[in-house]
Amino acid sequence: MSDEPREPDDALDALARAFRELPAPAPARELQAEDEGTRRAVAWMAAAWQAQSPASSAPPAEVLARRARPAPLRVQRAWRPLAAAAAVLVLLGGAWMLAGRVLPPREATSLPAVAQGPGAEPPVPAVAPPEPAPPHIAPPVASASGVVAVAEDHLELRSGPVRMLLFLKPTTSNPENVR
Amino acid sequence: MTLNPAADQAGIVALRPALLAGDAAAIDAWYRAEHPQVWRLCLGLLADATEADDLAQDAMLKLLDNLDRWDPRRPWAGWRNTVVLNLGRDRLRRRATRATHEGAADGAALFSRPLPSPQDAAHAAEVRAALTAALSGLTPREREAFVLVDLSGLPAAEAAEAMDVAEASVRSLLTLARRRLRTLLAAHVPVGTP
Repeated sequence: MSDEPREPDDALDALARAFRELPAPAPARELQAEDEGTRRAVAWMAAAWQAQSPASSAPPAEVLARRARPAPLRVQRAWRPLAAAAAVLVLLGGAWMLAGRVLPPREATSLPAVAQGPGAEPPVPAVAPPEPAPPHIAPPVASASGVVAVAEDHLELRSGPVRMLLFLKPTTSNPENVR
Repeated sequence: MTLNPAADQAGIVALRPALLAGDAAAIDAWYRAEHPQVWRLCLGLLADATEADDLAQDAMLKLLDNLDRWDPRRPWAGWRNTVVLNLGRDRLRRRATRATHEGAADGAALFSRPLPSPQDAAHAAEVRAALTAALSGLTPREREAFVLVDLSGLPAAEAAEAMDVAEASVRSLLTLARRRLRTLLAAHVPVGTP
């Protein structure tokens, strides 16, 4: 994404690339367009440079010995990805085994039965906790939702396991009417 | 000896398999053909013949050792020049901590009289001294541009690629280098020099 911070090298490379792609201005002349003195100086330099040669161009023994290697580099490089992949697999396998030993199991019921020591209580099978009984303020109804009970001062509604009591505003100031 | 990029390219492509296989005869032939050109590049970049000997050998070793990285579809001269340029820059960085080399010191005496013809074998030492002294008067980047374009005959665009700068920069560096050389040499170069 363009919003992500970029590496400084990437930014510099992009800048260098953009700079290289700028059209070249033409302040500099070709050699043929330079004045005669400049052309003579450059021509003398070029001729002098071409006339130079090293004392010897025979390959030293070091160069010949350097290439006398039996195994080409390309073959060795082909094994590098395979070796790297094997190393990653071994590391991941080790980490997985270590995690299996150190971390507690997620589900107790998934553990296999193990022998208990003398006097130890037998394992209690895990059972789901019983659903709390609904308050006995209204008789059970067959429908899953709807009005369960209607009283003088409250209304009981049910939707699945959820029950709701709506207390009505008292219509009289008699304190006996308030529950 | 003039550079012939087309011949270099065909020759190195033909020799490449044997060079990669470590064929001593192929290495010998390649080294003898390539070394003078590499050495001249080193001389131009360093402006010092003794250092050029050393650098050219390092460059030849590096070229040979990394030959499998060169794509034969790409110009050989460009790849070679880039390798030599990078090595030359490393050498110049190390040299920067040392004293000024011999070339610049002799410049004043060399340019107080007319320069001999470059083809005059009797004055070969004087020609080399004047050449290295004149190159020493350029900045390293000016030398790179001047050696690649005006001495080697590379197009400015290819020189820019090897130097990893814009083509406009190469042209500017060339202009500066030519001006300096004109100031230094024009009065001493015999009229009629090609």
